[in-house]
Amino acid sequence: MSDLITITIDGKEIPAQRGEMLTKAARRAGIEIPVFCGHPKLDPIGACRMCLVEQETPRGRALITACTTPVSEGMVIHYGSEKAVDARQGTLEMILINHPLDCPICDKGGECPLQDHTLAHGPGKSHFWEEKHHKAKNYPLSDLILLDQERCILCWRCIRYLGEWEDKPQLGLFHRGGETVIDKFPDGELDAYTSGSIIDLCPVGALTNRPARFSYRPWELRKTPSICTHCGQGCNLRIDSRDDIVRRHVARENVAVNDEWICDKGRFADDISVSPARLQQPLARIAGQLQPVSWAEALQRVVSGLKGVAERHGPAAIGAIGSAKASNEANYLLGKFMRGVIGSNNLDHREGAALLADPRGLPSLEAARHADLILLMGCDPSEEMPVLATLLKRAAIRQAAAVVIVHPRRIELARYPGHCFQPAPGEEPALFDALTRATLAGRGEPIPAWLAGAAEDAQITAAANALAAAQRPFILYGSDYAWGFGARAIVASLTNWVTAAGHGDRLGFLHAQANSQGAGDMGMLPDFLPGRRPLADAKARGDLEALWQTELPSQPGLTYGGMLASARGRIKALYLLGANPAGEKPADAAALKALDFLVVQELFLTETAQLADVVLPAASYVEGDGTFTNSERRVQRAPQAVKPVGNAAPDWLILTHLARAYAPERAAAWSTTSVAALFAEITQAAPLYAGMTWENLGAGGRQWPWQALSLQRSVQPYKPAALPADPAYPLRLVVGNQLWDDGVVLAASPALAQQGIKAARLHPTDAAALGLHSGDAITLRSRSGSVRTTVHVDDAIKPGTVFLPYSLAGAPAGALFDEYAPRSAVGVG
Amino acid sequence: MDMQSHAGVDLDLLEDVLAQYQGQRGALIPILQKAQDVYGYLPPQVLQRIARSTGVAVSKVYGVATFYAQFYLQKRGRHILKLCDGTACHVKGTPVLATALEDHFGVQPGQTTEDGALTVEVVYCLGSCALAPVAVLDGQVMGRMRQEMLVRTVQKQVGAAGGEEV
Repeated sequence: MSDLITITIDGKEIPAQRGEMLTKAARRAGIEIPVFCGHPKLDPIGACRMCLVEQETPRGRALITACTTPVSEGMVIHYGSEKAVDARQGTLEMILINHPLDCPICDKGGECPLQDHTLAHGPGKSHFWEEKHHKAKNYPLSDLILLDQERCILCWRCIRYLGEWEDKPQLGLFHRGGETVIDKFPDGELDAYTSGSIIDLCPVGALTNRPARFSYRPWELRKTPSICTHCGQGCNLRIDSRDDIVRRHVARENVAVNDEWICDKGRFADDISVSPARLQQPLARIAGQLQPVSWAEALQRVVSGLKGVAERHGPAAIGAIGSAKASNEANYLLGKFMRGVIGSNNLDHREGAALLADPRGLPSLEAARHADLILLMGCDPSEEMPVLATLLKRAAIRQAAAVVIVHPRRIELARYPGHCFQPAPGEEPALFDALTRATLAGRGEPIPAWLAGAAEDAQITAAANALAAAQRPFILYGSDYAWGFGARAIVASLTNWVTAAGHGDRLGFLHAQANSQGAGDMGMLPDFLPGRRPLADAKARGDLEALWQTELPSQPGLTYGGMLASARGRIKALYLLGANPAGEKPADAAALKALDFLVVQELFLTETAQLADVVLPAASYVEGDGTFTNSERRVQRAPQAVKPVGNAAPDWLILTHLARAYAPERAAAWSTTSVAALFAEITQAAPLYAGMTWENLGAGGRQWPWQALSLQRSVQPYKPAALPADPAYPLRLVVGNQLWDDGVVLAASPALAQQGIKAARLHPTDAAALGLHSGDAITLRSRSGSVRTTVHVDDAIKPGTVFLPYSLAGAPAGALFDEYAPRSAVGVG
Repeated sequence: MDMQSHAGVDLDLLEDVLAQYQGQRGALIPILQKAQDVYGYLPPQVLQRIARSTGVAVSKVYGVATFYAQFYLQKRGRHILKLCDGTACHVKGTPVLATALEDHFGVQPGQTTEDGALTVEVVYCLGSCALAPVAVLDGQVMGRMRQEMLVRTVQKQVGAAGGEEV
């Protein structure tokens, strides 16, 4: 039976795929059957009746809904018949009976399917002259979304999205007939992390973007296809601006990355360009105070400051810290400046050398859709990559993928059937050893002596068997397990398990930051050059020396932690780009103060920038061209959407001018004048990027292949690392990312200030023992220091641990880190 | 609907009903009916408990409960007066009866007296048009109603606490 069939619409034969919906086949033939409820990403429902057409049946012609009718061979359809036209016109008239027709003040006006369909299919006038039904207007479903029940045409798209993609069916259809409304259950929540998708899906102006409303008319927006830079997924979105102010973000389809969804942080945290806190002028420390100076003076001060240190102490006394939030171009040029101009390999970033990430990130985001088992270790996609979490939920529900989780918290995805392990910090390797042992036993393979003592129990055996039996597992580990004391043992032991199960090549790493992958790819590491080529590789150095027309130092440099720890010693000057160590760790603030010279290139006057000798105001990613590389090695463009604020300048331009001022004799190697040309240079410096051009990255980006770097994996013994107990500090610290933190991006967005719970979390038994209730103020203490915050009691927390999110205002997790970071022993006092 | 006004609902009373339909698909409407038999109406906590037990989203449970006229989401009085406002009854004076009830008991159709004694509801045609206007008090059909008679009968049934003396 062929899948290609023929159907007839209005006497015209058109080809169609067996089983596809009639609306889709018709659209391909150029017949646009109007729909409201139908949406390619949602299950067909046939609620709005807008797509009525006539079908020939043995009993004569019948009106059917084209959006719910799969095509079949020989089907005969009448779209333009009098009855079909009349039916659609009647439907539209019915929909408009109670619609307020307030298009002039409706945000949707100009991009509204209801307007468009009324123009194409509607009656010129209405039979009705009675008063319209009145329902709730400007009704907040949440802090972010407003509902106008009068504009709503009851298409169910929002209800279906929350049910089908988020598995959070928090909206429903209530009451009956003309009184029917969409609403939440009384006092209910609308708290899905991608809730804003329902604004994009709404075919009328019923659901509007609360922070953005009334700030534009759709036809006057400049629409720039771009990406989101809040996490490592790199969701595709569109930046809509007017008068060089970003007005809103809407999702852009890229099925391989984010389908057609973006999370609420990506959608609503778009105020960075209008934040009054943005740096607009270069600043220099004059007589102890940071004061505005011209760009020329600022750059001259940077040149003389760095040159002075280089002359007094040598280039190895200078270091630079890049950023996993900054573009490839920024990180590449910072590396080129440090290595090629200054002559130092002291080069790293926060998520750099110390993070035991797979250098290739994760194999493929799209693989999440086809998974038959999902294994998550030390990562929480709901908080760290919310759109990926929706894809995983869908795989769990629609493909019955078992969900296996190893995490110190019971994360959201633990609600799906599978196995959930909550090892306490320090107990992870023993658990993974047990899983490895059970896997080897299940496969009838010999158990090495070092695994013979591993625990056995039924759940461990079941989880091990499930992974071993899976055909298409989607496997991730994350930063919770990839840094700090003991991380090497955790990563080695979890790699052993996955390798023993035969899935070593599917083990991926979930990067929390937008350009963690790219920063590493650009050589923002003390021992790797662009393209992940080892510094020790003489050929790689030679290639780069030819390209950069300079000589490169071959001694590996200091790491992020090493540079900060040496700030009172051999490091005398630091150049920080988009890095804020002082905000995260008070001890680092003290270290930075000891430097001879500190340059900070930043968007905001952060805790670190306040300590600088020169502050260079950088353009945000929406204000300049750039590329970012997501967790699956997809290089994507983020073109300029608006002008930089004030005198801020793009990172690449600042660094180019700086290098030319520092070493005029090397100006020829610093002659690119556009990001497109600079990206071309990057593809030469980083062979992994060969073949890519600014143009051919296109709207959907390009990946470098997973196989380009091959890692040989086998089950190997590793060096255990026991976390020492400390009776004075009976709890164990767990730090991690949560979507709604107090980071600079959210601090710049007043609309988002109230989102999420910003507190340390304790299990109810620990809270009860300490006499604490949600909302109480607490002080967390470790040997390194203390932070004050509030407590939230949460039974998802492992007893004996306290969870502290990164980036809580006034409670920098780094204050509690010691050499056991970030698994310190802590106490509550 | 705020939770405050539904305080004191004993969810344990629901356990027998839920146990009876445990694991049965499509049993939502009978469960709602039996729950209403237990509580007289469907408080939000009860809907949430039913949602948890059946695995049906609470937004769907609430959708069903609001769709059918047989389900009540507000506390009802100990006595129920149904006032027919179908065409025949309307013509024969139901609006006057409604006004009289409001004057004497302080409740409009759809409301319950503050002491919880009486709920007045409007229905559309009880099929007894020959007896218009028709009222039904606690299941007792009363035809050809006049305002004094209605007020007096309700007064008697509800007792002295139900309103002022006529």
